[in-house]
Amino acid sequence: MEYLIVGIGGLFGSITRFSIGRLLAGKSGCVYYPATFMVNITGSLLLGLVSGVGIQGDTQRFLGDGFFGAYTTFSTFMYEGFRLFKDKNILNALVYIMGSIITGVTGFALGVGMGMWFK
Amino acid sequence: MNKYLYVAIGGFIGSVLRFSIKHTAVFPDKPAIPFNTLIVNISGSFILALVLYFTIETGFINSDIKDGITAGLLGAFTTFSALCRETAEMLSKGLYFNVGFYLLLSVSGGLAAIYTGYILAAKAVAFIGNTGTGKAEE
Repeated sequence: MEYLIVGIGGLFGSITRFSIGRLLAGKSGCVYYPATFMVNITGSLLLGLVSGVGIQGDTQRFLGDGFFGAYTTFSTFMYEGFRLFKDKNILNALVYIMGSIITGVTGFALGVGMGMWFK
Repeated sequence: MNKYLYVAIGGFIGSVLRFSIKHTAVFPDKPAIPFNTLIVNISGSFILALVLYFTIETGFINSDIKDGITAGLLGAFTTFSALCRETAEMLSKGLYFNVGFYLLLSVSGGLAAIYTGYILAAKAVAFIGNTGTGKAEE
């Protein structure tokens, strides 16, 4: 069952993201920019690696749709971006949002490159 | 331990939901932009804002279930890595307009979704506050 594989991957992805968030954020609550940035960027990089190496089938669903799909998050990213705008921190909001996307896409591409080199 | 259990369950559910939406037959075969990711990201952002702002106002900040819903389910339901992969793939095919449109929709839609959730949460809290204290309509 594909769905079970994706679900289990996602289970681990969420736990990992949550653990990293708690580790880095300590007591400051569930949204914390460096933690979200870190998981999103590393997740994109590693997904690129997985894609570049050419993993297919169930393993690809487990890692891609499952683990990294859950490990990275867009909702928390947007929540933080909105909070920056709401606090009139416009420049930081723009830098955070655009920076995350640019770094993430570049990270993915770099990951693909590395993966293909390992192949 | 409880927190992590809820996050794990939420993560499982969120991932399966996201995957289900990806494989729903509603979408065209070669979409101009990845609608499935767009849908999960925007709807997930809306619900996250609704839940987070509501729980912040009503004080359930340390609830384990809240973590299961927000960090667990919604964190897994939405995804940033797929967005990056799709953007990179479209860029490699020279689909620059599609990329611009996709990212614009994702970010503006996501921020609008957060804002909407924020407003709705405020209204819900105000409503509860009014009915709770038996205030007359204002």
